[in-house]
Amino acid sequence: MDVKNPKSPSPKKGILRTRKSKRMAFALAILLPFAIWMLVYMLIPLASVIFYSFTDAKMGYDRQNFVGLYQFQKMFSNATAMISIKNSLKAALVIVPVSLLLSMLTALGLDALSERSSKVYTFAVFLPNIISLTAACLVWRWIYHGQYGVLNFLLNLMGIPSQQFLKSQAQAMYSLCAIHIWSVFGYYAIILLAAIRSIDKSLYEAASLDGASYWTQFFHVTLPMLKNTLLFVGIMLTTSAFMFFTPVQLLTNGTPGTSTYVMLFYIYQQGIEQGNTGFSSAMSLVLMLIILFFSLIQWILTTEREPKPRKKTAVKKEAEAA
Amino acid sequence: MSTVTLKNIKKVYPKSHNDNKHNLKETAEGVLAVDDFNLEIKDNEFIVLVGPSGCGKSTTLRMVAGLEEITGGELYIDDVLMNEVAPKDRDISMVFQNYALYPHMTVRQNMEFPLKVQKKKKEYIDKKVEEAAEILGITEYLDRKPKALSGGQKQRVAIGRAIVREPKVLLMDEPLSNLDAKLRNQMRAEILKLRKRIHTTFIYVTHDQTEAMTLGDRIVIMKDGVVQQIGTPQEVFDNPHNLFVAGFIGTPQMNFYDGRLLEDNGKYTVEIQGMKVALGKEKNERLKANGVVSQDVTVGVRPEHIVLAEGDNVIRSVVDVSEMMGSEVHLHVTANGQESIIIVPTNVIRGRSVMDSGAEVDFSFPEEVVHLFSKETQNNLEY
Repeated sequence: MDVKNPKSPSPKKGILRTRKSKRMAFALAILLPFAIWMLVYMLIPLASVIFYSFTDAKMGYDRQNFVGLYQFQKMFSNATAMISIKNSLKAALVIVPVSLLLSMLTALGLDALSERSSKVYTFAVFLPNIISLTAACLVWRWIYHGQYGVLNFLLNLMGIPSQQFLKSQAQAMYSLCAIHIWSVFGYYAIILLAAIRSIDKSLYEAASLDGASYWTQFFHVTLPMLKNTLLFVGIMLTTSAFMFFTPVQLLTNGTPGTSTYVMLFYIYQQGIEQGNTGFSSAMSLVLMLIILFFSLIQWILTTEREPKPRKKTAVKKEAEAA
Repeated sequence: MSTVTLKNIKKVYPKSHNDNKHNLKETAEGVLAVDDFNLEIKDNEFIVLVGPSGCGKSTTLRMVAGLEEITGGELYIDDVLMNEVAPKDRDISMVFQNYALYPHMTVRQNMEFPLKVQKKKKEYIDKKVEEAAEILGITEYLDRKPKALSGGQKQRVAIGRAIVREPKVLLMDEPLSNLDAKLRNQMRAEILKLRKRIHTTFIYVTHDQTEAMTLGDRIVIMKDGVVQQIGTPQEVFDNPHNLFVAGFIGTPQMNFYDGRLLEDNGKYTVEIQGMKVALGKEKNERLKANGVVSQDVTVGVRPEHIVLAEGDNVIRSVVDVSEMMGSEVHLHVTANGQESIIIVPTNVIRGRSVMDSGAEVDFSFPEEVVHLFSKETQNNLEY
């Protein structure tokens, strides 16, 4: 082996001399574009939002003054803002569990199909994801139409009178939630399907020999094995539920009354349409904290805790042996 | 404990199922993975299915478990037809090669699972689990998760989960294949001990003939979906029914030579590379009964039955390599272009130069250890 004198200067100079620094440079080269993107589109806006939420900034004005918690105070005393928070929570409470259940059932159904037909159905389920939501909303407007809508046509066939899906205070929010659920559940069904398919088949074989029925297997094998994926899907769904905006903007504009005012819609109205940058920033921050809070709850609920040993003696014995 | 009867069991996979190269027979229906499998397993018997990979042994086991559909034939457990019975209703448990432990459950929960599914009382479950853990020496790991266990410990847990339920039949699908050699030997002994402590019928699948020989009351040797021979370890070792069984059972492998069988007035002689071996009374009678005539044959002799010899009636060979195994030496020799292995006790060989490569060695063997296989059918001419 060729051993160099450590004191003699290395033939190559510069940063890329050692293997470690070469690897570092490679990592940086790969990550730099993403890091720049993160900085420009995530971190700087985030910092700006935090900054503006403590100011009285308005669009079109160069200067802003520090106003402390004033914008937050204003928000919590503003009836429409409060209604929008309530509506967003209501939407999330509908969207997250229903989408999760629907995705799970769809994934189980797709898994039970033969390989060939499963491909066809998987594509069908995924379809809403590749259709522009704007275009889809136009179709939904027709589906929900009070007089000529296909949904009312079907209801009439069953002898149920026509409903004003988008114009009734009681139904509008749920009608919009249904559009959102329709647009997202297929995507998560496919994620869950992939996770289900990756579960070791011998676990099911062992369980079926142990006498477990389909549902016992589902609750004791499938569900625990999907925990991490379900956490991911849950957090993504929560985020998407609070980001729920397009159908509101296109179909109801927050109406009837304020029944479909959701947070993002109100933020958009305040920030973009009326130029209240400070106020909408404060509200954005609250929205972020709400999403963070619900994600954290899900994370805590699903985090694996190591089982506590029943007997202390066994542990002691091991410690002694070690 | 129960009897298991397999009658003309057949498994056909659709042709597209496996496009890999295989030696399996193809019929109009598809690929024949198991063909005409017949076996009566007695109560409390330990049966080992053994054969090279792709021989249909695991498929057969999975058909018994109900994890594979039976294409043809009948499967009985305790004289009840099982073909259409769901796995969970067969009262069978199985140990898998990859353990198949539920990773999110502790060892205790894993072992409790089959009893909980059966809705047994808690006291009963605790008692059974602790008993099984005691038998398998895993009591101290009961509150650990499988990922904190070694391969050997995991397999003990898997066995524990299989025995807590006291199944009628315990199936084991290559349970030791994922373990290292030392642990495998140890676990083999454990399974033998376990077998004495619990009374159940075992069906065990392995590709390792040593496992088969040491564990089985009877072993079933399979190749390409077809049963080659069924018998006790001693029977299949002493009287292999065909060339495949002769080569598969026993390590090192049996030596095979091209030879000629000569019949003269009911007396048979084998000629191998110039050496003549006159067969004894028993062999003569059996060959005569089968109407065997003079023909070219494959002669099989086990390495441990070959003796170093002197004189004219011997086979002359040259040592290629020798392996010192401690109490014995394995000589790899070539005689007239045919390689063979000779096992010589170390004390016989001590002080002689035959262990050097290139050394000349003469050997022969007594007539009673000679196995004669038809060149045409590869079957043993005596059986």
